[in-house]
Amino acid sequence: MENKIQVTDVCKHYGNTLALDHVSVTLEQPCIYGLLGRNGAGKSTLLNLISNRVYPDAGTVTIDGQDCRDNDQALGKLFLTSEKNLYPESMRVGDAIRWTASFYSDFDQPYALSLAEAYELPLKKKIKSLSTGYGSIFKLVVALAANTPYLLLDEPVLGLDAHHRQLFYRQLLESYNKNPRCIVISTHLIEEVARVIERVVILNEGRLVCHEACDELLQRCCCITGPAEAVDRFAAGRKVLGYDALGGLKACYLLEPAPAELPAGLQASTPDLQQLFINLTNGGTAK
Amino acid sequence: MNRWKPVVRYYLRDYRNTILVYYLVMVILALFANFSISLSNGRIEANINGIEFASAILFFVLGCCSFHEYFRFFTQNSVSRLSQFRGTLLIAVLSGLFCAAADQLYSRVVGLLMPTSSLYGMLYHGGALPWQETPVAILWSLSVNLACFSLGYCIAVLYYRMNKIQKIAVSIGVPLLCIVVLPLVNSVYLDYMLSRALAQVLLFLGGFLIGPPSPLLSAAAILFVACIPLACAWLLQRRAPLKSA
Repeated sequence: MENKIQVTDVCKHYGNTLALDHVSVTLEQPCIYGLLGRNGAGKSTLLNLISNRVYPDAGTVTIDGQDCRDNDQALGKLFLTSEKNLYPESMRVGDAIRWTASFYSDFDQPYALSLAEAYELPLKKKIKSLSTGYGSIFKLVVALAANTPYLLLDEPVLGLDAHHRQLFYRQLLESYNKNPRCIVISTHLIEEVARVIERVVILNEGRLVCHEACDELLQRCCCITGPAEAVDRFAAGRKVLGYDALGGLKACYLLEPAPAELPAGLQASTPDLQQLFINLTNGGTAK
Repeated sequence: MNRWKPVVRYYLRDYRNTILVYYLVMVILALFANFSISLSNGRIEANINGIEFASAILFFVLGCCSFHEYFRFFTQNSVSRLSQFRGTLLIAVLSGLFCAAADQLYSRVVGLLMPTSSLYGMLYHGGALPWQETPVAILWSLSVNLACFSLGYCIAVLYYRMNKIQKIAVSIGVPLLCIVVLPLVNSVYLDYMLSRALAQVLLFLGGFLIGPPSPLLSAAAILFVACIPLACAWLLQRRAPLKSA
């Protein structure tokens, strides 16, 4: 059996807007993916297509080899949390946890309740009356306890304070170590999520820009800093992703490993994922 | 895992309270009417007839309210649209059957307090053999309940799929058509041909056109007609995108 989500050549339009343009990507388990992209890149659309919340205009999505369209067996293997609250307004947190358990056979209700206690999530409160942060916490609690082979998290830490975000990342890794599976995190907080993700998928303007292991991607790139003229001379003829300039100093991001020897005045360093992401989505290419 | 089962259980949770409140109101009405008769020493006459009509309205409203919120919740829990539709249909049949039986029981109990008649009794008294009356009455009521539910559900799904302009056009256009345009055309240009045709359709649905009044024929006709909005609802729902997803 294929243990993967296979997205093949999908396209999606919203009116005149092309949200996804012939995107093909494979999400295998076990692995934690970071799905990154600028606003409007198509991240949420991709996740919604995978979970059959919307239909592609072209292309196919399969889960473990089965077409996910109207397929309970395939769809039952994944859980998606999105920014929007899809729970009934009058439903209480505790009831939502109990009802989710009836839809997912592997749902761990005691674990969900223990998570709720750890986050101080009130079980008797109505979901609509939760703050933005606690609304996100509620969705995270349900998602982590669902124990599905594929877990898709769209902006999971929206509204969470630093303490809760740290708690979430720790619990995510604990859950992953206990039950290795495919987890996809779509977020704008790249610096934070870079510590937990193994592979990165970057979308830009509806197209797939990069799909690679995080470590490999970072090792393939370097950042050369120094006086602007020296950096420009060094970068000539090389694969340049982008530049940062401040006064007379310049930083150049290259799609090649740092050379062993550098001209005088120049320094090499490994860019962090956020810097790389900014340059890749500013017109650079990872290929 | 059969994902339509939790769908049915979830619907039951909501429908149970709604139907209980509905019958509680009907019981209170009956008791109030009976109390008024007692107080008046026979000067006031009261009777309660045709509870099936009220139940039909209840099912139309249930149908209208059974899509939007449930679609979002079930989709959040990765239930396919087919399982959602199956679950909805099943709950409509189960609750329709329950209410059809409850209506017959209600008519009989209230009949002990005051003169009363069910809608079925008013239309088809003697239309079936004595031992068949109750099951046929329940079947007929079930068909009416399902028809009203399917119409309400179809309207709910249709409104979900429409954009703002389409909703405004339908919300204004359909009442305008039914209340102003059609009656005008019917009386001025068609010499009430539309009215006569509508009457024939209603008589056919009521089982009055062919031979003696037949509640079974009526139930079959109503169920057949109910399939049309149900089919439309499925065609609209099968590829409905989750809005604000």
